[in-house]
Amino acid sequence: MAAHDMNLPYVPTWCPGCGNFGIFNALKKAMAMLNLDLEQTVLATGIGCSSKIGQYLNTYRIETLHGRSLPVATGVKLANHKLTVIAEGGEGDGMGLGMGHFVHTARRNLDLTYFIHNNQIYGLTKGQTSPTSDLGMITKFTPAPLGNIEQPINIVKMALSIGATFVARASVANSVQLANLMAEAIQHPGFAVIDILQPCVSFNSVNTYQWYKERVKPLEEMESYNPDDLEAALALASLWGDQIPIGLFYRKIRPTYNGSIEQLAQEALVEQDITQIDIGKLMNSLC
Amino acid sequence: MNKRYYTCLFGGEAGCGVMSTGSMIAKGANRRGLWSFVVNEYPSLIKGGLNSCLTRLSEQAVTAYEEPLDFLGLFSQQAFEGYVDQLRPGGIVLYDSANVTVDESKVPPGTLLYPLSFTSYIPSGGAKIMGNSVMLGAFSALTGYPLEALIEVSKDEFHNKKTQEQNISILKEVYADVLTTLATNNVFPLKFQQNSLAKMLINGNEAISLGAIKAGCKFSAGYPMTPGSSVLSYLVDYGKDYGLVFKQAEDEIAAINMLIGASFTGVRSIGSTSGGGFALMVEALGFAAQGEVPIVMVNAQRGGPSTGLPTRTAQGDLGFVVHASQGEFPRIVVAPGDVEECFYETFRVFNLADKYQMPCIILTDKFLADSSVAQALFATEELVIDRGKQFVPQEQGANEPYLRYKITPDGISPRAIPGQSGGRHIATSYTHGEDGFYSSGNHEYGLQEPSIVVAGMDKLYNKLPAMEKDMPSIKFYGPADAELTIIAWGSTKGAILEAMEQAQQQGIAVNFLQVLYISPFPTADMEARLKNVKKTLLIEGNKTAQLGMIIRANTGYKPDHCYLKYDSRPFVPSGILAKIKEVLS
Repeated sequence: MAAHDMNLPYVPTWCPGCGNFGIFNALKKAMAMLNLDLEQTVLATGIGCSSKIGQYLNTYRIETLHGRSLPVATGVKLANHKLTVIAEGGEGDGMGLGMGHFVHTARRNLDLTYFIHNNQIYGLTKGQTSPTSDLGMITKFTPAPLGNIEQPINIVKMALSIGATFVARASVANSVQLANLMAEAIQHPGFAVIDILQPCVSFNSVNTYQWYKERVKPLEEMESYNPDDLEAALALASLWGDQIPIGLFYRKIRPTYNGSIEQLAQEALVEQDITQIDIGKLMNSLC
Repeated sequence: MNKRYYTCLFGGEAGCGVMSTGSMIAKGANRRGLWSFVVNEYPSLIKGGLNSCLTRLSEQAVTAYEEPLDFLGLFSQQAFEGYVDQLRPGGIVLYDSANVTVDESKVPPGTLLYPLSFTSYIPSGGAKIMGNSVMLGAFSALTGYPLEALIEVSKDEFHNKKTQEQNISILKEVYADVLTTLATNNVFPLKFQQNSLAKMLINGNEAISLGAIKAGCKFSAGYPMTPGSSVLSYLVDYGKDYGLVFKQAEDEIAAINMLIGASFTGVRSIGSTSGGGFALMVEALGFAAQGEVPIVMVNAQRGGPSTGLPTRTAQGDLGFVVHASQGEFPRIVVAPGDVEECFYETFRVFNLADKYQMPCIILTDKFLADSSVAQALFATEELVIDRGKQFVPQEQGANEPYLRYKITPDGISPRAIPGQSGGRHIATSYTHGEDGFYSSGNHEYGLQEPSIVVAGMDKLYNKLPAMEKDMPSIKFYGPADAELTIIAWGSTKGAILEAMEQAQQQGIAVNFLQVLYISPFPTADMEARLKNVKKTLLIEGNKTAQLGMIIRANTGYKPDHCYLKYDSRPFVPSGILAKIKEVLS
């Protein structure tokens, strides 16, 4: 399957130069690399610029509410655990409204993949502070002189500490690594998260392609890198500033939520025959 | 002949086993030809407080309860103070002498007061809850209720062999001791029968759970909230054998979105909550409507607003659930009036949800959710699953793209589910065209936006004509010609039916319009029925006559009288009868 088989005849409405184009292409590349059956794949998105990716990719898709891609993806996966289920959205969607879902989905290690487009700004609502906006960032809702006075969320560190079993960061500027990591994340049996750094060319004049390019550094080149070691991963995840590590921070195989449920051992819920259900014994037990 | 009733109430602190005492009496009676109705009242507490369980027995089916008590079983002083006023003259008060002091001046004339040291019967190290077997043994001796019925029920109730033996031995010992102190063997005022019709002792939430399992529901997600969550716990306990998965969610928002995900994937799904949880779900309710994803949600009402009254009944959410969410969309709201309707209408709404591809709400309340009643086994042979219009790959033309939201005369488009060949699509919370593509701002659809918006909205509402014929929205009871017509919804049904019976015996002709499906509102049917009424009495468990407002909005009709009750307790037949007489006088 080639990446172009995944296309639909709609023209993306992202701004010229938007990082979402690169993420979209990397996702298609990753899916092609895995030769994913598009009819057995569901993409659940939130709402926002990045979540529009679902409008353009020819799999089964569900465009949910703002912040709710993960619980919807959870329902999809539990209903048919044989499907490949990917959730995707922006950091505003996922780390703002969706934060509670992020924490709980990670700790239950459901076999889902979650791609977070992180441009440190709200784009579709035209430039407000996001949960990952750097300190001091001037935005519509945090104007000068103070700018943003809230500590940004470090998505990788967060994901590591809440029990995600595949945690990576990638930059859209490095599309080969991004596609490779996406493919690995989709294949990972458990909750896999990638914090994808991307610029917002319209509303974030600070964290530009150039800004990221000057700072990102492959984890492989860093001392003490060991993706099997949570403590080491947490230490590296704490770096943010002059150096921003990218790559796979951590990978661990641990029982998945869906793999632990007896009812899902064989057929998927959706495959069960529902036409001849006998509730006689339940009624008798109430007599 | 007037129906005969026997009403007993057991009261004590939470943790005393008050509720199992009442339900064991009901179960034993059901098995021996009687009918029962069991009402639990409890505060939002784990230990202490005042719990009560009222069990009303009759030789014929019981649909409601009345407060006057023939028997009062007391575990605590607070129970004495709380319920002594409801005792009938000539009744019996059985009490734990270690915890209760009876002020005889408060007791009606002719009452038999029977103190008993409960703890003296409990083996050392035995649980306090065994006091309910002391209560039951003495109840049996004092009233003439057959001890064998209680022994039989105890055998089913206690699965642990040792506990079972201990409890049965207490039952027998207390029974024998109490009997020796009585001058004569008492005869129970109602007639028991062997080999009677099999009856369940079942509450509204259990009936809904059974309906869901029978309907092929395989997924549930929820967050605990009284009084809705016992549907969820039933599904946890018994759903597994039917391959059902329950997922406890981090909050109600997650819960409903999980249901949407599962249903989008083709699995019938149910959630259950109360008003506060439902409030959190509202945005996603609109998502289910916009995306045309069928889901079934139970709202077991409790007192509001806000945290309100966690364990008490109310009918204050009707207006809310009928209108909840931004924008406009049709949804199905059914308000079962008894356990039978809880079962059959739950089964039905799963079919309706699939057929009309929209969210369905089962609106009950604490009284219906939590009160148990003797009920003949449900007839399930005729129940047929209908998944509605489904996408069939073979029927799709070779070069014809699949359109998830295809415009059709009846507003319903064949539904494809993930994994199906040829059915790939986007389901969306955005206003969209036939292909599910967002119509605003896009190069493709931008210029046609107004017409796409209208077509999408009309599509949702074009489902209504077929729906109207597909649901038994209004049920009618009583004589065709009556001086007074009662209009009501939900759990008030049972008390109304009993009040009507009594009215009839007193020569007052009353009939009753029960609005079972409140949304979509059965306007034409209601208008036709209102042409035949003389005088109307609207009965609701809220302050503002919410059904009354809905009727008026849809038909212009204003009921002549209202009986509104919002004191956190259910309606009783005597209260309704008094109101009937008042408005007819």
